[in-house]
Amino acid sequence: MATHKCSPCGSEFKTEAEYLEHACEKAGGAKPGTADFLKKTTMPHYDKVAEAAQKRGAAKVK
Amino acid sequence: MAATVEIDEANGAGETLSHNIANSNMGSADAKELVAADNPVTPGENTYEKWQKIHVTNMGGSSKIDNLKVWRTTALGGSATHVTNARTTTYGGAEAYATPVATDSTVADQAMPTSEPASANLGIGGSLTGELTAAGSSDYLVHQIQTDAGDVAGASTTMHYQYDETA
Repeated sequence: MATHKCSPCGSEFKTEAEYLEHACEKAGGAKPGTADFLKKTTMPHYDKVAEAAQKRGAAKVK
Repeated sequence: MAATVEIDEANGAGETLSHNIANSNMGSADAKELVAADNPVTPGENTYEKWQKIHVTNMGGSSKIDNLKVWRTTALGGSATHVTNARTTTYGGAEAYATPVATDSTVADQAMPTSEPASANLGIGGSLTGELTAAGSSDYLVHQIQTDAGDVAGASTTMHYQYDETA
């Protein structure tokens, strides 16, 4: 059974559900599963990346 | 709202799964986000395997995530090779976690693509046609760099982890 760890803040959890529910101190209290969590940790350019991906997707659909 | 996705990496004998890693640096230690300069690989030897997952933490209103593709761009140093379990045909299914090793990987035994594959090369639920309709993870992506005795320097490269998201 895996142990779950939040890489940005280092907190450890027994289950993935517990990880997903924690308020990450390195993300200003944002929880995993939110865009804010990614923006404040590993993806500061999240908005630009998401916008570019949506444009690529729209072009692919056409 | 788009789905939120992170890359996770497992390490150690006890499968410590670190969520939302910042990089995929590879070297002579079984550790996430290692400093390559502090963990150099002796020429002719291998890096420790990486065991990673694409983890959808929130579907964000989307109905489906599928078509997972993984590849690397930018050349490796010297004559090193990059091997993986990712492949578009004869996919081996979901790999059960095993402690990462620095000996020749028996799981990662095909060259990592250096451009976008034509179709999925990493599975969900053991299948390349698998899909996620709720939060969940891909199969383990296993990869390793194997160096040549004549290699004298590493390289900085880019790993790509791609998926299709259907509204």
